[in-house]
Amino acid sequence: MKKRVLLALIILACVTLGVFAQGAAEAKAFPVRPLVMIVPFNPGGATDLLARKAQPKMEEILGKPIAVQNMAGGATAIGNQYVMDQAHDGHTLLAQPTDITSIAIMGQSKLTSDDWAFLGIAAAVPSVFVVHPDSKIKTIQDLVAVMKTTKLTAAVAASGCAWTRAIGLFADQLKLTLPQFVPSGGGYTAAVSAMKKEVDFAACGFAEAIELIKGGELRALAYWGVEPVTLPNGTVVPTFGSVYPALKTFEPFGGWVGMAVPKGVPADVLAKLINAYDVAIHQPDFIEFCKQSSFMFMGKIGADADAFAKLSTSVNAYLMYDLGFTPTDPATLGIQRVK
Amino acid sequence: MGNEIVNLLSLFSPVTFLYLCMGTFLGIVVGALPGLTATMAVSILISLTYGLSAANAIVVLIAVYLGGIYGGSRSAILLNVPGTPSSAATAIDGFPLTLKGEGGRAGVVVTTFSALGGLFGLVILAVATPLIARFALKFGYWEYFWLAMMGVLISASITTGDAPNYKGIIAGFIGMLISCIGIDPIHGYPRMIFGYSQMMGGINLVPAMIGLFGMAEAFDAIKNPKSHEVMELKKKESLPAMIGASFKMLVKYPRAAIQAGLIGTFIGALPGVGPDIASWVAYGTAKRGSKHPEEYGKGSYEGIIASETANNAATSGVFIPLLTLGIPGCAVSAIILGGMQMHGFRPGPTFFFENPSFVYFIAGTLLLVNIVMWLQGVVLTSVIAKILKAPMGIIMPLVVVLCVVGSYTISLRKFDVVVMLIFGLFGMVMRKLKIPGAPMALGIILGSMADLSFRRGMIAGRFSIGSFFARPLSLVLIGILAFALLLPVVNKIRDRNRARNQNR
Repeated sequence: MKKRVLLALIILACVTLGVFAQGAAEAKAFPVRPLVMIVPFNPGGATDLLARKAQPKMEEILGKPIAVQNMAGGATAIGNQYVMDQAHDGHTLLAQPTDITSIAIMGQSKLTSDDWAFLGIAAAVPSVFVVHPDSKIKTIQDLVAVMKTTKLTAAVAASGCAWTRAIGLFADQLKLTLPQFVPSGGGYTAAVSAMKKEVDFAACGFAEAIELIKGGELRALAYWGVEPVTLPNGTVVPTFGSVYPALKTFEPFGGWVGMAVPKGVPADVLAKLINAYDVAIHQPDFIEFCKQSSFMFMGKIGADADAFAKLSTSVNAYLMYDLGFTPTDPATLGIQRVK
Repeated sequence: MGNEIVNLLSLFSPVTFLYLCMGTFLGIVVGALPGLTATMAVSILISLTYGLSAANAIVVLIAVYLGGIYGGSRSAILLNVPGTPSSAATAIDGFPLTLKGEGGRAGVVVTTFSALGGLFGLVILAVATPLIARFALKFGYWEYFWLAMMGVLISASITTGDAPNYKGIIAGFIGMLISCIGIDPIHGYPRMIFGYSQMMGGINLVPAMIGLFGMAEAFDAIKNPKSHEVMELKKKESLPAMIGASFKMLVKYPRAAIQAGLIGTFIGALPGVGPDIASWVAYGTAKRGSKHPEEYGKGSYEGIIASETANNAATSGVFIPLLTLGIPGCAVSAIILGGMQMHGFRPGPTFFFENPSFVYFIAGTLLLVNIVMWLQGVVLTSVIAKILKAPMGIIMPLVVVLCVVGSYTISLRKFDVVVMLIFGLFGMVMRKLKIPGAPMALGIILGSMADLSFRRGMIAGRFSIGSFFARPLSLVLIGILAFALLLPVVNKIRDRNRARNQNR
């Protein structure tokens, strides 16, 4: 009996000590507990891969485990809202893809890039236009010629997504008929749609289609990167700007993937997080991973990334408004037009 | 990374083999617990395996996936709560077997056939991969629509038992309606959310399913504690005897098993479909071709063999498009593809020919996991049978806890727990009205596939409905669907006429 009382006392003491230790640690420094990294898309996509690639090094630097949690839905609106609703103490991070530039204007969320402090933007995913190898459209010039007269069908990821905007910008600048968009649920599935001949052509992330292009399952007409790419079989994929100089100013165009926390996170905590992300994405193996996966490494950090996100929001929001994808005037959301 | 050599030899390292065994075991446990699915386990593990060597990481992911799909059958048979969506069809015949006191034997049978299904799929993968991958690409939006309708309607027509057919169809359509809740992916327009921002992301399948099956089962047990009393084992069967019996089933039901293997592998190979549907289609096909269709729903070994062979054959099937084209066959394989990419392997059309050693490695892993899974499953059967002896007063509260935890961990939202509870009550009412829950679950899984494929097909077909009827493959699917739906009606009329003639 005595033994049991003693045991109970010991446990009690341990618990009390533990609570005190916890309190003491909280006063000391960030992070006090494991972090959570929310990925607002399903596993396996560009956002997910880049977040998970950065996570181990960030864990090492911050000294606490970081759990990656996928929370897909509502074109990232669900994940955005979740992280915004958590305590603004820096323990919940959001892998933040380009969609933050469009969810407000598309009416999916009230949040814009102004609500977020970016740790950084790691990489861009330039858009590529692809067709089935049997298609009559052999080059980007062919596509332009056809789109001058015909309304084609084009697979994209979702309504108003980065790839939709890439087609929109292309058609708008070259005065072409907008195609009928078929939202396929993802860039990858859009590419597969072209491969199955369900549509006339598809726009998706270059990284998402590169293996299919290399394998000859798809023909890449042109992509929104900055330099033409030579495939292993010797074919050159031109950039849009190299064929149509008027489009050069928009390159690179497509999606990007960063990491953010809600604004209001204490400055010292933010600085620590930014540093961790900075180091993590500048690791040689991270950069090599981007290269291998056909992501364009950007490495924008902190305020630089904030400014880029703001610019991107303005460009994308007005592009979609001007093209009639949304009736919402970006000005009503406080987004200013950039000349 | 990426330059690491991964080939069949990697599998012979003791460490890798240890990972394989541990992964399989973990998968079985996770799969067996209602609410924890293979998808969830694999997506959590992907971060944890990052630090491992490529070979070990890929082995763990595959082992957990296969183990998880198999593990779901255990709780389906013993508690009538499918541990994963793909084992919902197994519960229909598995649980009656448990009530009859044959739970242990049924467990060994599904273990054997799960492993055989996986191996069957593997053989097809080895001999016909490029062929099947090409054929699967012929399925466009239009065929996916019919395939989704087929899944829902087949499960509706076979799960109703003695109750009239329309009840299953009602359940299936309610499920499809539920799947439409949330921001629609085509135009980004919120549907049926009634102003609740939580509903924007839609009703998550997992909480709905655990509510419908797990929670409703617990409610049932509270209402009628006798319903879960497992009959005393009729005769004590030794493990070797049960194993022997399970292999004898192969001789007894060769047709059901081979059919299920073929259906499972092919459906697994269709991008975006996966094991959940495979088990239903195989179950339905087996019932139609069976000599004893009247036993289905009352504890038919043929039924559990069909569904479990098919869902594990599908796990091999999903690797067909994954390895040849880099296209994932289902949600889990999309995550596994991500894992391979993180370790520098980029499956795609050229990959298959350029890295034959990696492909052999995957095939070898599938082979070993299926064998290890069988061994572990058989040994576990005796342990699980002991757990079952625990009174329902202990097991059911545990199920309730798992239901709550499982639905919460999906995306850390209390909303999902509420969804789970609502579906639990819904499930209870449906049981009272003799409306089957399974078609509803399948409706939720396939509803969005039907909805999206239909609308994409309309847009891509320039807003003409004709394309749904004009393509040859569509016509084949419509034919199968019509046959499946009309056959029971025709049979009923024939029976009635016969009865009338006899009365005269």
